[in-house]
Amino acid sequence: MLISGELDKNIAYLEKTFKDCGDIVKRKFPVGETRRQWVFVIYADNMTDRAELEVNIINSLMISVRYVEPSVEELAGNVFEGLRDGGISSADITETAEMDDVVFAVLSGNTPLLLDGYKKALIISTRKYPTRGVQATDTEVVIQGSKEAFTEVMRMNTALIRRRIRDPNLKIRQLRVGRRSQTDVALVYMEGIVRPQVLGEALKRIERINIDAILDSGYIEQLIEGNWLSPLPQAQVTERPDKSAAAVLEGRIVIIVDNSPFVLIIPATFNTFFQAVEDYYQRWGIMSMLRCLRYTAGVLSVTLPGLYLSATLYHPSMLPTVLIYKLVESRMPVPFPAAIEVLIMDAAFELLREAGVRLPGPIGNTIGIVGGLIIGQAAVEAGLASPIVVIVIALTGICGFAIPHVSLVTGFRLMKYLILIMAAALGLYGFCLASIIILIHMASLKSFGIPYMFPFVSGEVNNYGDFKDTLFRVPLFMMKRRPIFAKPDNVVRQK
Amino acid sequence: MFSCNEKISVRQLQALVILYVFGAGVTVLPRRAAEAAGRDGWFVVILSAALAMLCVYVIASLAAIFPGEGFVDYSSKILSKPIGVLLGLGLFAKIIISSAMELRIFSEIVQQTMLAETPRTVVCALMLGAGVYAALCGYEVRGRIAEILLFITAPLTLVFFLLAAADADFSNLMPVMVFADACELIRGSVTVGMSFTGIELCLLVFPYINASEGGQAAAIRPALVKTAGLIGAAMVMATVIATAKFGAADLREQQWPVLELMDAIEFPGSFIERQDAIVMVFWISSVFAVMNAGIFFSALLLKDIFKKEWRGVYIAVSGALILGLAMLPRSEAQVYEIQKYIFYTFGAAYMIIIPLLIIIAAKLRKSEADVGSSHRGRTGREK
Repeated sequence: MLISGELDKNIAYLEKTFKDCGDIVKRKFPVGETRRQWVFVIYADNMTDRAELEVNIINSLMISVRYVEPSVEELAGNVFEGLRDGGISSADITETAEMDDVVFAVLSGNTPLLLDGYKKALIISTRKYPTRGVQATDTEVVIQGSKEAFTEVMRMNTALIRRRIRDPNLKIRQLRVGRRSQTDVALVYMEGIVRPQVLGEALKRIERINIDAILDSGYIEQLIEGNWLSPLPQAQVTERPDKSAAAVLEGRIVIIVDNSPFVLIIPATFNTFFQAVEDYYQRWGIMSMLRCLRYTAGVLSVTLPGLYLSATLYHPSMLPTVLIYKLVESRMPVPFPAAIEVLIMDAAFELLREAGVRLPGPIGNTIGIVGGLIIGQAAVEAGLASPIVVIVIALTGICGFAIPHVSLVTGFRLMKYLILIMAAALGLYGFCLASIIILIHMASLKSFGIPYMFPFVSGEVNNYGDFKDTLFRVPLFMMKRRPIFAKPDNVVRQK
Repeated sequence: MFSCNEKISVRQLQALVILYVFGAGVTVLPRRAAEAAGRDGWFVVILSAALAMLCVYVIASLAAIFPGEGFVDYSSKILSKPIGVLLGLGLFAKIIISSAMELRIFSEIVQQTMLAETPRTVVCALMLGAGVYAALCGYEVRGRIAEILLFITAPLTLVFFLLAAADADFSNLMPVMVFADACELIRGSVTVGMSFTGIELCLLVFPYINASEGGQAAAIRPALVKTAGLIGAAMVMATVIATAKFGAADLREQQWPVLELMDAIEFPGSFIERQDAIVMVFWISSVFAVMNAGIFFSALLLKDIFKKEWRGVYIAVSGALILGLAMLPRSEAQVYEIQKYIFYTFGAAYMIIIPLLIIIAAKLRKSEADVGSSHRGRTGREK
């Protein structure tokens, strides 16, 4: 709808639109010495910067313009331009002739200014949301490196990346997603380094979203992923600006969603989920060792319960005799079959994990200790579980925590059950078949055109250069080329 | 950017061939070599490897003549459509029967070593299920799986062999080259060549290789010959170590010498007491590679023959046929008989005879066409 030349008509429309919206503040007042030119401002309370609004808009219009030449009366017919160019002391002012833009501006925390007799409005940037500010990261803690985490305010998040990359090629393409929420979504990338096909595909998938609201980046993640059946994440989630900046410099795209402190990084490969930002801040030797440890932990977190079941149920001859005796002895008082025992203990562990996450910090920790030590000990003493199963399940859980990305661990937690059930039914044969099925699935996955298992597959495309940052991380001076995500004609990052 | 064009790289093709040929053939190879030439079995393996390299060279040469074309297409073009279709059906039968026999042997071993009470049909059906899933995912995914499996199994296999070598008595190989009859040796190398069966599947891969049409032959031929050489070298190593470890006489008595070899290894400071189950893990991955290739290529042949895009149906039909045929033999001995028969008939034909015939026919056709065109050119000028 277009803005009317009659201010009262516009006010009536806005009154109707914002009926029963208690947080919307409206004010109609005259400007100039003769007080004949009426203006109207409307804004959302607590989403705007009150100081900016009162000093730079209300004060300017009500008082300051009276003392500035030319006066409102002298500007007759050009009041709109006069106010725009000298009446309001704000850097960010835009014009619009659409009423929808006025409504959206109000909902975004900006302040529209409508003038009687003019079919357009000024939109003055006054956004100031209630925010918790930049705080320390909770989920990706490092010993050495930045402690900053993203916040819920998109603009603050883009600033955190921009501060790290002072290059005009850093582009922030902004979109609006969600029919009702009209959530701001920004794609951050380096022009010239990002692969145009990946950028095009990302834009296409985001523009295809037709949902009423986007409340978190998780919505976008699920709505743009290529294979919704897969338990594995196809986009990386992070709350670290330094990790996002590093990803952008590698040619990847960071998707920032307003109201979410977690951003998405695409494309993502299996290998990227084992990379922690600290890997590049500390010396290569120790970090390579830790990388190997993480991969081992990843494999164990999926396979350990299945391996235990197949070894004890079907192939005890694999195990040393002393261990078999111990196993038999420890299992004697347990009334359940081994597979059920493992499933019960695993369910108990998952329950403790869930309870620990939901409860506030100190209580969550207590639950972990109480659950892990006391309940585990009690279960063993009561003969409900054997000590070795407690060890196997605990070790599986700990291995999961060693992986830097929670979303991958979540996928692993699901895949573990396939292996566990097949191993319980068919021993090592079932274990191998389940592993092969998982492998086929992983080999079939792609994230925005990049094979998920790269560089373990198709590595020759990049002359196996990406292997430098997989199981081992070579010294930084050897990492001269960008990984596969970068545009092929711009891969040199270090000379 | 990686396109979804159902094409694989030459490197992925190499990984597929290694897994398929080495995995399926190596388990019994030392026994066959020992039966053929006793302690000089390794020499027979070298001859077989050379033969395999020659076969691969001939097969890959077809790629130069018919770049980007499928087996049924170019054999129809050269030898007429009915013959092309007949050859396609023959290869289909060969693949299905070989895969079925391999599956049957595998199920027997699984029953012997791992799951004594599980019905054979269940063991086979589950393995086929995994093969069907991989085949449904397409050729690109198969190539990637092969790369990952090779990445995992190749270093471990090498470690196994090195550990076995450390404990072997190499005097069991001495004196070398004491064979009495050269003809016997050549016959032996043909028998041992059974372990290289599977390379004929290369006939079907050319349209699925990611290389420019002109560069396809240049890329594929040396790569495949190198791969056959590499497989041959690994097989020679396996034979040498197995002969050194067990001696030629004992080796003849062992049904699965490589599995025995791996089981006999003592890991320094190992936690695991017996490796038989772990050894099976290696074999399971090889048999998976064989099943996967069997189902995929037989479905591919059906598609080429019937010219209809019913991939799911073809894969299901191939899987069902393999399962049915795997259940037919009455005993393990019969399975070996069938395998031998298939190798000496279909195997030899598709590994060397048919590719050679197609090449010769193509050359003859080309020279006829050249003569015809030059004759037409001359008469045209005369007019």
